[in-house]
Amino acid sequence: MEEVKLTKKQITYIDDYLKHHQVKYWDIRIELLDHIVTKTEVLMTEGLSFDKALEEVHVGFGNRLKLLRNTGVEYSIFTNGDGYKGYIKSKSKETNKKHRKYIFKEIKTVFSSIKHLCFFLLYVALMHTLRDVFDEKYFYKIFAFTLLYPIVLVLYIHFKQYRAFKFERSINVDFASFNSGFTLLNIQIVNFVKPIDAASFFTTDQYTFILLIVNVIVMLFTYCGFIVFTKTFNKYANLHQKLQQL
Amino acid sequence: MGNQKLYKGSLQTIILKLLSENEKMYGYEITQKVKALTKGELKITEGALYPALHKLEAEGLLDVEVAKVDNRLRKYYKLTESGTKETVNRLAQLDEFIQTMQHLINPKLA
Repeated sequence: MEEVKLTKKQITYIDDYLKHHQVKYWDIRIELLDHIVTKTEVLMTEGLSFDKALEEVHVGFGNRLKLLRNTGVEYSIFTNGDGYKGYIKSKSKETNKKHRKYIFKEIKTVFSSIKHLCFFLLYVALMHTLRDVFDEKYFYKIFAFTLLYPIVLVLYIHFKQYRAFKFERSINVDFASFNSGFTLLNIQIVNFVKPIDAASFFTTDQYTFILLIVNVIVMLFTYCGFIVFTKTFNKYANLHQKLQQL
Repeated sequence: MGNQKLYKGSLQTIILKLLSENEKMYGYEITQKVKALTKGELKITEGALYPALHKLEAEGLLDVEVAKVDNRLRKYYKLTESGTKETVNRLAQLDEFIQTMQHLINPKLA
């Protein structure tokens, strides 16, 4: 039996079908597209038509062909994409976990590298000096600035990412940038909301000390988050380039 | 065929074992290899395979490599160093499980 190979037009049709089912991340579509094309080719070699083969693959991923169960209403691979929704959900959860793990690994690297450790200790010393030099109000402003800059950086990076990927999204880069800036935003919000309440519970000295500790922790996570982001961005930029050259 | 649920808990170990015997494999290849080795008894669906692969990758047990095949990109999975160590542990756990089940179901043979 002669081995069937799909045409470029048929592959584009499958890619569009995935986009129709909201598989918006190009780095997820790479794997799904290859699996669907390979399986469709095998089924067509066994004698199925392109449409029937694609229907079988569609169901294999946990999608349905009918809009409603046990009814004859609509019958198409474009009707239901629940299987792909589940796929994206599981991939998102695991990708987030993977990037958090990378950040903690990077933190370990900071503490095992003399260069990084010196830089980190210098930062702690600088913040400590600023705490001594300025009064509580000014120190809080410095604190706010050092916590706000990651947000500005993340916004800039997002713009850069979309341009590099021709405005298509990558799940890996999305989570890498999210974890480098936005997760820490939660800590930042808590500290922006609480200063007045906190000041009434603690003495000025204790309060600025808490700010100092929070600032140093946030800086450490942000710094490591950006290292992870840069590595991820470069890796996927290369992959996207490969994809464009096909 | 009705015992697919029994295999579900061992899916990750099956994937690790296959990857320890093959340098690198892609998703569809894994489903076909399992089907062939079990003579069609175990069919891994795509809906079960990929969450397991993504979990193993997030745990740092698998690494990913992308290569151009025909006119598309293919994602290959391979074991990391910790993945190789973990495969040995999980196979030992599975072996222990099989023996325990044997004791329960067929004490004479055990």
